[in-house]
Amino acid sequence: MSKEYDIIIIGGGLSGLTAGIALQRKGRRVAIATSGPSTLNTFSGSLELLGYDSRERPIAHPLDAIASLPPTHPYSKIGTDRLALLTQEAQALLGEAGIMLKGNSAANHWRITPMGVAKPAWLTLDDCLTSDDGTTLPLSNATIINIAGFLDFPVEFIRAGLEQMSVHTSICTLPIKAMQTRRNSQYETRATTIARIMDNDDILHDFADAVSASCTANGNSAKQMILLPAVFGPTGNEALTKLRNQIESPVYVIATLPPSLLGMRLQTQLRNHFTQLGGKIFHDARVTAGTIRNNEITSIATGYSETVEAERYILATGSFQSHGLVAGYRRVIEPIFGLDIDTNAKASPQGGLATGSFFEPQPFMTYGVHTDDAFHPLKSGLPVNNLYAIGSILSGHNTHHQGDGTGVSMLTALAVAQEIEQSFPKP
Amino acid sequence: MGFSKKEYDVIIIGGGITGVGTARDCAMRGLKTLLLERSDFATGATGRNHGLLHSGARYAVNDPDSAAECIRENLILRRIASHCVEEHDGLFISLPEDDLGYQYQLVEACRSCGIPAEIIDPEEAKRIEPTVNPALTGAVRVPDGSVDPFRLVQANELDARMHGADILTYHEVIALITQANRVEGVKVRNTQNNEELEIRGKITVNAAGIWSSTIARMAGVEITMFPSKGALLIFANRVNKMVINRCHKAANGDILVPDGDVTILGSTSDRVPISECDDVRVTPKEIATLLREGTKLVPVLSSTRILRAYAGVRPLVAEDDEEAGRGISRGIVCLDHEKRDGLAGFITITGGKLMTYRLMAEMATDMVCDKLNVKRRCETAVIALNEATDQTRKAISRTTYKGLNSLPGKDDAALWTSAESLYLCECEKVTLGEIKDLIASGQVETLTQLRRRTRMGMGKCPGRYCALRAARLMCSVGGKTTIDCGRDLADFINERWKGIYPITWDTTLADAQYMASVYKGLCGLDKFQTS
Repeated sequence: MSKEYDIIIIGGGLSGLTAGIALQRKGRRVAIATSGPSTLNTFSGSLELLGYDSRERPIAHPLDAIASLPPTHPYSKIGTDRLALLTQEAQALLGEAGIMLKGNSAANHWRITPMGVAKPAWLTLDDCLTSDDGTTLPLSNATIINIAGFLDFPVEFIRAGLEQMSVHTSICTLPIKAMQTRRNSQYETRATTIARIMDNDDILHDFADAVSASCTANGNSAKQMILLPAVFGPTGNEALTKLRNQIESPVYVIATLPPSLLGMRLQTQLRNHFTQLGGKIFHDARVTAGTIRNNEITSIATGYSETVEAERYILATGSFQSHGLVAGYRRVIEPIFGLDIDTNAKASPQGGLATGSFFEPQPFMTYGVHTDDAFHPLKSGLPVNNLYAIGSILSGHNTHHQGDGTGVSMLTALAVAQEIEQSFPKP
Repeated sequence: MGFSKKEYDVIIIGGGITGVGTARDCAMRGLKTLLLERSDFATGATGRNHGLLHSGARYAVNDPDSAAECIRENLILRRIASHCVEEHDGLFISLPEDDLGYQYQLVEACRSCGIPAEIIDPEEAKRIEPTVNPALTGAVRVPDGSVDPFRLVQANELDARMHGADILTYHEVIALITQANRVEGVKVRNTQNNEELEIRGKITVNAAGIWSSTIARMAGVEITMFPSKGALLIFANRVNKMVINRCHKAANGDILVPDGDVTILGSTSDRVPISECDDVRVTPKEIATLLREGTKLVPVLSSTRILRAYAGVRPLVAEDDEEAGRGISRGIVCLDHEKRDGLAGFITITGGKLMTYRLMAEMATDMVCDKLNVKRRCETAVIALNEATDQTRKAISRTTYKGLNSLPGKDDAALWTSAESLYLCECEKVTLGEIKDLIASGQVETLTQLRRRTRMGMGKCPGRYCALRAARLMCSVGGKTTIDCGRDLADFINERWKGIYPITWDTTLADAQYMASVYKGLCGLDKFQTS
């Protein structure tokens, strides 16, 4: 009764790919079914472990702060000591996938957002601008470069943020001729449009020259940073490496409005690593239903009415924005298996999923599937034994206000990979 | 600008459709005209209704005078404001639980008011309007349509300016200057900088909508308004071609108005205290009522994405102790306070509706002219709005792109000029150049004002990227500080959120969470330094 796969993971975002890699490198046969874009579309360039405490004050040492989280938080289910080990494992896994990062789990550093705000971070892609303490930056002079006609890099706000950190900042907007000839649609102003144009050695070379010329105009090039929008290389960092070789000043990137090229790069590198390890990805495979007997999933079905079987299943379909959770008029459901939903929220004054101020913590953020401490989701009050839930579909935390989203994704994925590994009989 | 030095013939209070319409009419008749608005244009009932180009059929049975006014104005607006109007006709449908007798009553009443009304076969109704409830037992076709109130206000405003009217937004009237039983002007406060000034005018016209009673009280005059709140839902798809009304006595959720590529379901009717009129919010109960009734008109609404929920307050004038306000006439109330209260130089124009704004303006202006002994006749029913508007647009566009010079690194003018055609707001197809024009012209101070003038951020995504793009231009072209622009951006998002949080389910919630991921998670706007 050998099945084609040991594990099927539903969802190919950060958590699904992390779990896939962790299990595949133990020699398991893993398939990932993925459909649609993941939340890496809005990736900031940083993975976050725990950024803010319950009063929204920034956290300096995230591992120390985990003990004071409520028991419903996914980290509390993992436990502080185990979580610390998993952060090491996550860092190693990303390194093996060829992803260059800075930072560690002992102390947060700070990323600079597209609005020039400093936010706590755990691991940040090596190319991105970061601050060690949230108040100082590597150099005290900077030139922010934007590309003429690119609307999604808010240089004015970044400059204001930098100047608050006592960095003398100028803005330089460079035209790219190719953008003119390529622009045949009024919609084409996205980061991906620029990335496509920059995927050409001649254009990249000319651009680097123009950048160098503009920093010469701004004074001593060795003493200033060049800050670029993250509009390079959806697949890797070759383009940026070329720019660095040609530009004398230190070069950093800052995330743009979505789509995030940094997220696309992270996703591509993780996918490549997973498939190189022998994992299988089914693209455009929306899992629509699953059969559950005696608290076990026996098979799942995709939109093409195919049924697939595996020994274990991982649900990594994300929250509302990824349609892992669906809100109806009266209630919230998990659409594939109909799992129990944990609202974990105090009833709002309106009795709804949301409150009247956008900037308050929103009740819908803490909704998710109800799991036991081993991340088995419950259905009608009973755990589904061969199913695990990871990532944003889990209840009990608010990533926008706690700054823990990508951390929860990676660390619950690794915790579940360990659980699954232990659940298979030893050879 | 010396507003306090001038003496105006007429000062009009209120930047809703009635006020701007009156300003246009007064200016066209050669009066020295000033319009005062405490906030922005169309922030009251004008910007918060279903945008119906009434045939008048809805009022034909109970309020034939209003119905007759509606059909007359309907035909006029099609002529003078064709760029603000969509002509698609409407249906009054009867469902099995409705008394078909009302249909005959409606048709009879329509005909006696001069409203073309034709009974059509239910099968024919299903053919021309495929999404209509197939259980319908009867249908009447009437000349309903839709009108974009924001464009209509803007067209009137620009036209009034063209004819020499002065217009001050963000100027709140705090007192009326009275001398010997005569209103001689107003005391206003600039809400942006709190400066106060006195402005003299021979006649003051109170066109403050639901706030008319507040203004009248400043002169010691009582008008009892009946604030009637109406909640509405906008659906993200245009599910119907024509307006669909329920053929029974006016009730909740009985009209579905298509406009552009959306559909608006209206409305509820509940009396609210005047104190609530500044911040009306939609309740879960109102949403439940609208959905229950709306899906009877067009069943597919139950699975159609809702874009926004919003509510406005009808400025009805109280006549009896009616509970919901449905029985009150939508008729126009034009009060000569000299005759009514012995207070000269003061007129109130209220009641009425969006549809009859032009007639209201005409009545108020006639009264003003009568008092000033000006003989010129009203021409607003014959001179189209867009003619003047085109000229005004050209006048404005002379200032085009001057703000570009403040953008660093601009070394290729041709490049920038062509970039002007890029969409800043992709949903509503608002270009970069259009937004820059408006910001550079100094006509807008906030993103919310930009939205009212261009429809930026009013489309299917609630300002997902365009809000931040425009906030950048407020800094670079408008010359505002990043702190102010960041706060303005937060205000804009919160204002949009008001229409979203009551309906957070399905795709709306998915989009709301995405929006939060961008502005809170990625950008950290919630942590944006405000000191």
